[in-house]
Amino acid sequence: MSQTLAGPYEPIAADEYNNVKMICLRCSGAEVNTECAPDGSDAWRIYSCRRCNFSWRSIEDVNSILRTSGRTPSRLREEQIAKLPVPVPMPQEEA
Amino acid sequence: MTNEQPLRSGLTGSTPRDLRGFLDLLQAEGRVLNIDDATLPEPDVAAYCKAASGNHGSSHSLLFKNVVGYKGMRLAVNLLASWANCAVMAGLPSGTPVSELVIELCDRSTRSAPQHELLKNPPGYECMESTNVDLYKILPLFRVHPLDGGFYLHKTCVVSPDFNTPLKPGRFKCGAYSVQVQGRDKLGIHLSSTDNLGIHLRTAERLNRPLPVAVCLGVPPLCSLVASMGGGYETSEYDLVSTLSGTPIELAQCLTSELVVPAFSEIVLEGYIQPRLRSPLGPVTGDRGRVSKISNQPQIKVTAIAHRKDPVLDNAYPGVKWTERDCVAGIAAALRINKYGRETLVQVARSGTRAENMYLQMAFSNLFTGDVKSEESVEETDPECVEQDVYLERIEELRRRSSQCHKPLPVHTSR
Repeated sequence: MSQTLAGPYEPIAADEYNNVKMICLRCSGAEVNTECAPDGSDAWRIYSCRRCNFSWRSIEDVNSILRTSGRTPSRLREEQIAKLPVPVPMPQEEA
Repeated sequence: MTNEQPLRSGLTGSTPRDLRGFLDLLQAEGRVLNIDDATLPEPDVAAYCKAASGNHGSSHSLLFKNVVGYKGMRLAVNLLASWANCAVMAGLPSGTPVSELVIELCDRSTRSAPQHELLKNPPGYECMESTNVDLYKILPLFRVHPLDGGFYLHKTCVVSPDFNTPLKPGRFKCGAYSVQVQGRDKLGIHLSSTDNLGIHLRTAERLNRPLPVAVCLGVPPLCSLVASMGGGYETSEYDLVSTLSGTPIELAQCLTSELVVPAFSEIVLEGYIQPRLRSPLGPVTGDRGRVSKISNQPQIKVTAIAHRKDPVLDNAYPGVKWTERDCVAGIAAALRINKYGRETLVQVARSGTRAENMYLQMAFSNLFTGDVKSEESVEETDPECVEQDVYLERIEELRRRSSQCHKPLPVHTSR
């Protein structure tokens, strides 16, 4: 087993994931894509929310990613997504 | 692989032709830290990057060869995060002072640009995938900063066309934008409305047409510099790369669009931006650790992936006080100021009085070219001018001072 900065890592058993229905940890979206490690080692998986595009890896502490201001983890509600700023406005919005 | 061209010092500088050539030069100089140990994408890679970052252009470059889950893939970070590496990029010795590096590049930027060269069998298209596009299989991703909302690529060269002008290599714009891998064939791109790509997108959306784009990764280092430079809309990035390297930039024709891309890119992601579609992107960490808020940004649909054999992914690590962007932005700003300053001063010199021209010539002699009216007028008119002796002495003095680090000032007056 290899030693890394984070210490020894354990390959993750596929069954551990296959039985769990993932939801997005940021917006609670139910459609989450799962991607395996490309070398087939099953060392980790990448989850990607199809609604808010938040992505995380199975070996990460997601709460620390979402804790942007150092306090409580920031969540994103569905109604907030539609109201997000649009830096490159679409033509119909300009009119 | 390198391109050779004469330097101001009279030596011959070899600018790396591609990322691999650049890496070889850096390895030979001992300027890359090779990480062969098994490294977890999170948190190890970012931890290494943070540890390697130093202030004021003293960061170490890293080459990861064993990221867990990405067996056989190589990931390079911080390649242009030090002045020494930037000097190697320009074909200069790594110990070149920053001032010399900037002067050399400014001097090169005034030369004429060689014509582009379109390669028939470009290295960047050795391997091609257009049916089962899967970005997760080709890109060794890591969370660059703990607060990022996904896996970002910060060192890109995104090529896009302007639908308002005829398509030719000079009219494609290249820019460096942060992109997020959002799916197997989807990329989110962080734009503002004033970016070149933002302008292209608005034009395309008014026409309700998809905007073809090519996201080039691992491009030659001078391409990275120029892509992030923002040298004005009328500046052709490909011309500028050719000018700075002294040899024609080698380009490749995209397979799914009319775009042309650097032929020696490690990875080319071809696709298009779907018109009138925005999707959430962010937070994304920018310079000096500033975190942008989540916003609805355009999305790129990737239709084909081309890459070299065993590609090397080149990424940047923002989020610390001094990053690769600071080095690149510093050089880019100097080139921009040089360009605009030269253009403005030449205009003043052409329309100003003889005395104004003389003062300008003394102050900015390196910026003038032979076709400036002031130089001709000084030579041809009133050679018996009383004030001329004063000017000549001043010019001689400046000439003596500048002879150590600049080329000698031309004396255009005659007695």
